[in-house]
Amino acid sequence: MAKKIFNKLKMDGEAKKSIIINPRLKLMGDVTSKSLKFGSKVGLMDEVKKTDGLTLTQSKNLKIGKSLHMNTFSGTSTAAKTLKKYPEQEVIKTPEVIDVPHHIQLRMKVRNGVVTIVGARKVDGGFVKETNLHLNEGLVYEVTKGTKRLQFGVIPDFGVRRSFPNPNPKNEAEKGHSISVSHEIDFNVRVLPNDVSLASLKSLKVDLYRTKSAISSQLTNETLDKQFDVKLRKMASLQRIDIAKLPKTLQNSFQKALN
Amino acid sequence: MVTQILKSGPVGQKKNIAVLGDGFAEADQTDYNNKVNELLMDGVFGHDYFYEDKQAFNIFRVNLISNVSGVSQRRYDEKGTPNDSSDDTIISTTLKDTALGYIFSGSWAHCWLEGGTNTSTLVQNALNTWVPDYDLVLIILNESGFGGCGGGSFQIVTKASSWAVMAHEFGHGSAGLADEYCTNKTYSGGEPGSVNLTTNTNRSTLKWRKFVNPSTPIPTGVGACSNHNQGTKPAGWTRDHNVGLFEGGGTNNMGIYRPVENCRMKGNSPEFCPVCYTEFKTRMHPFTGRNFRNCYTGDFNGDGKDDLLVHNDNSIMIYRSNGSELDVVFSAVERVPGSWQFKPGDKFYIGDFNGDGKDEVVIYNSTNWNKEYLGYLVDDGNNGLKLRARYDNSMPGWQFHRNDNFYVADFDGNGKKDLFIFNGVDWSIPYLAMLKSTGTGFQIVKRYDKNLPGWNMTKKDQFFVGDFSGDGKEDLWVFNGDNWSIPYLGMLSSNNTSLTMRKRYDNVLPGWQMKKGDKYYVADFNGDGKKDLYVFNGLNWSIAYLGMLKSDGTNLSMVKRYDGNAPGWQMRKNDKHYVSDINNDGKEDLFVRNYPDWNREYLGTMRSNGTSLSCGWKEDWVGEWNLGGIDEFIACDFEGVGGKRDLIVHNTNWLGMIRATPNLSLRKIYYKWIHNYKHGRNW
Repeated sequence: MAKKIFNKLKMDGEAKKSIIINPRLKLMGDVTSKSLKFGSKVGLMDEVKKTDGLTLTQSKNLKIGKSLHMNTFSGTSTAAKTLKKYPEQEVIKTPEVIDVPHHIQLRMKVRNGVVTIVGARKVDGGFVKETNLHLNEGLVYEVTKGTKRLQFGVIPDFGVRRSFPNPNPKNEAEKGHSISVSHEIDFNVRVLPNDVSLASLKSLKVDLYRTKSAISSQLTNETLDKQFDVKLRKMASLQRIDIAKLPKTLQNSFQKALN
Repeated sequence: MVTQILKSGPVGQKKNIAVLGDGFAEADQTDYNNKVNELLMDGVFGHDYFYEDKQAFNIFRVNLISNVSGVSQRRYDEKGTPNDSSDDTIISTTLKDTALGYIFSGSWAHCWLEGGTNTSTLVQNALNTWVPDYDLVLIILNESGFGGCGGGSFQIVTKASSWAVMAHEFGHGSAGLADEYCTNKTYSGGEPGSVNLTTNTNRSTLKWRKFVNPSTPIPTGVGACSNHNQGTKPAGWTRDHNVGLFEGGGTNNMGIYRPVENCRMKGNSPEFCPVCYTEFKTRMHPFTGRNFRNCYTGDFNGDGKDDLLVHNDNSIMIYRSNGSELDVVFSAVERVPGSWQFKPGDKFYIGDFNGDGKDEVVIYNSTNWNKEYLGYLVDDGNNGLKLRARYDNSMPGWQFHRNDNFYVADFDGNGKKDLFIFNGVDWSIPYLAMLKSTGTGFQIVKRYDKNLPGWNMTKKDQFFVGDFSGDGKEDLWVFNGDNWSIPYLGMLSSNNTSLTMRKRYDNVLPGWQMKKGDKYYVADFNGDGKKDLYVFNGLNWSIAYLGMLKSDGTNLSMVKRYDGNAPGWQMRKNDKHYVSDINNDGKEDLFVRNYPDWNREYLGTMRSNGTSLSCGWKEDWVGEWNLGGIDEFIACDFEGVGGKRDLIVHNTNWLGMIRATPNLSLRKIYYKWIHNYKHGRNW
């Protein structure tokens, strides 16, 4: 935990002298109870008729709209029914706003080293935007528009298919995985609606990097390749999204998500 | 059809797991649902890391109806070389009309199963249709033979698979962990990128050095897939939690090292080792959305030690105290059985409401639903909580409203904590009710409308509880410094079902001129069984004052007043106090802290001998804890020694356990998450 420095007094080792907090105020011993009335705003508690409970001033303070009272209570003990099964608690019928009312999810696919976009949706609620890159092994993607990073994310497991170890192994190898190559990776990119539009899709760039050595660092405003240089190796890139060249269904998805 | 079976939060803020089934016909859907629960919910998410961090994940179960039961089958001729698939030939294939078209082969070298002609498209279509936000995918085949194939965020398993292997696979898929098991190969490559494998045998540069005890030899195990064989294994050594450097890992016998003898990434069954666990926690922490802002203490298992309950958004976690450390014992996301659904606006009240010697939890939510809810949660018999009673919108005699305030007090002295409720804001007149605990729920025994005996209730009445009469029934104290021309303090004694005004002080207390800014702390500072009163005012006078007013059962008398400073503590405007019993002598004391008024932050103790105080303090740091303005304190007894000599200190990312005896000292500090490493820590 970082140490802080202030330019105020330090407490003495042994408290001897009273600290004057506010010299304009009096000491407790200097006043009589009479002088302590809070001005003219309200009366004394005993001035209130017992049946009224409140002075006009208090009533005014407490009222919310029209007269609002709880239902009569007889004063006798009544036990509330304890149910065996309770219904779902009722949700307020308004969309839950966390960071943003909604965001855009882009579904990316990497097949044989080529990055393509395979889906776009508008999704309710906000999303996690990390500020630290923590990567030991695997891939990291970065989505940029010009020099601005819109999002990044880690893809920890890629490029392989692993068979589960055999519980009754016929040989030593079957105690572990059988590894084969897989050429496909899917991942989600989540961006702010203001950061992406049909018109700006052409300036959107998705880069995919393979880590060369472990990184655990706060990100700067620089793109990943500039900040981490040789620690990352670019392995694929989607330079622009040309909506006209996308399949019709995908074009429709973009229209729906971004309009 | 899709059912979200773990609802942690918006899809953009969580890792989303899609679960699909193949070969489950209409009649098999219950079997499928049960298998999802067994493998994923009770299995993977019922144990160690995943149990703790459920809040980072959403789980969506998709019920796909296959036209037939069971999946397609394929048999290979492995030519006597089961490890080598390249020479295998297909003996037979029996296709079935299933939702995803998977074919089970039962051949390890063929990943046990494979997709059919259209499987990739069918899976993609199902995901796009039902769980377009998926990050991880689990596919369960209706096949009783063993098998499972993982990679690239997918896991396809049969019904005979085990959750432990699936958890291992999630280690690859969500944390990028490497295998730690050995086969008969020797590694000859460079330093691997994986966090849990290395070729480096230099202690000072070892990537997991922070978890290695200096007394542990490096390397710790030498030779083919070794365990601890360098020197004597110390007492208390555990195979999965003591970190060293062990030869063998990454499917190799030699030439590469792993962090522990046996981790889930090696043997499937053990828990994740500290290195793997920390990797998970580091990666997933942003997706849990957790912090330490909402903390509550209570002895939830009745062992005398106060435990910790942390509330975050729609989850709670309970950490058990062993006297000096905390350990996770309960993790609930979205709801507990019963059911109570957690929300950010939940307000928690802790107390032993059923007199069983364990604390229960009352939760009130008046902000997140379309009506108000009061829930009563009790021990579920398994270190967790379940709902015992819930009151929706109202209960007989009381209609809940937004600004209802609750006070925990055993007002009938039967050993079961009860509740006072006050609302001075939401109605035309103020209301106060006494909610008696029946042990299984609550019932109102008395409601006061507008007036309490001898007291006109108003909006800004401040209530405190404490048995000033010493009859075992907790009484009600009320102060109002805002709504009248003069301040008032009332002492209302409880007689089980009603209140009686024993004494009202108008404007002055004995030796004390009441003011608007008075802060009252009910505490038995002389240990006579009658709650007394500390009163502090740092706002309304030119110096700060602290008074000790003793209760004789019906009246207060000033025992001691400190003007400006107390012995060993210079009082200032922003002193904040917490009632405690630091030396467990039955005379309640105060913790005091001040951060805005000095150039350093201070935490102090004010110990009562019954008639006066003696103080001590720490400046700026308590051990490794850097005192700060954002810190919140809870006085408690996590040591279980009696009294209340401990403090839980917490802010967004840090949580500390401070004890005051013999001096203020830090017992434990946690960053971002609570975990006790055998050696080292996560920062």
